[in-house]
Amino acid sequence: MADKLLELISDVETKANEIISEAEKKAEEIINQAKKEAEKIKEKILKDAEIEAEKIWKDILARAEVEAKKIIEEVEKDIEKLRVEARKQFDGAIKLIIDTVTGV
Amino acid sequence: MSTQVGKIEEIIINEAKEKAENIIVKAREEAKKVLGKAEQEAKREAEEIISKKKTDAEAQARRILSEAKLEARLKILNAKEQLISEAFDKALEKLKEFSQSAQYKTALENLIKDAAIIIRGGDLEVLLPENTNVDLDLSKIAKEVEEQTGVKTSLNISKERIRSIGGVIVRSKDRLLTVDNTFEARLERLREQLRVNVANLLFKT
Repeated sequence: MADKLLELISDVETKANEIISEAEKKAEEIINQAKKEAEKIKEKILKDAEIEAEKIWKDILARAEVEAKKIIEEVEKDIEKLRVEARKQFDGAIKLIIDTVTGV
Repeated sequence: MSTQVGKIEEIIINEAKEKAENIIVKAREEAKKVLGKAEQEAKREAEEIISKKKTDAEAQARRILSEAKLEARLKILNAKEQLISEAFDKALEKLKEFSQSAQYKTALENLIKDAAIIIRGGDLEVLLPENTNVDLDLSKIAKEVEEQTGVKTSLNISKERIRSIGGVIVRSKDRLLTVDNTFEARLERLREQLRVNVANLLFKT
């Protein structure tokens, strides 16, 4: 009778261990799945960051190029004014050179 | 008896189920932590990527602007140099015309006198450009040179002619001393000094 009882309890414990073992297996799967998802999230965040960084790079450089172009355009205008103003003084400059060279 | 066994079985299975439930709950909590940590790390890494790229871009932008400013300065300098050269070229053309003008005689006499004084007088030869048609009073110039140098001076036109747009070369008869006072030589000698004065005139603010 006692043997029968022990046998019954042993069967139940085996069943209980199976339940726990099953849960442990499921827990491992949950964590493994989470690690895979974490890797995907990380990849996405980094990929998005690369895209954003590239956009920032392009925006900053584009602004710099526009500003650089503006600087050159401004200087071209300044040079045109400089030429006009300088040529107004050409007669005086030529006279200065001739007077100095000829000693007159 | 079978009722008691059933109860024991129920207790053991329930305990096992409870334990299993705890294992799953803990696993879910661990999974949540894994995800949270990964997200946090990725966000920090992302911020670093963006920040580095921004810093690099700003440095590159500064280089672009510096280069543009340098290019602008060079353009102005080149434009000024071109204008100065243009003034010198035009002056050279005018100097060719000057050698045909009424003022040329005075200029030539002054240049002869200047060269003769530099040589410190003596017996001197005057070399003139081809096609020079000016009536020079060399004895008057020689006298003025004598007054300045205290050395007896004679000036004679050489048969040798020079290739020049104007001016003169004066040399001692022994050919040891020569002063090149042609317009080209004077322009070259005086160029640096003139450059500054011409620039001041052309670009006065």
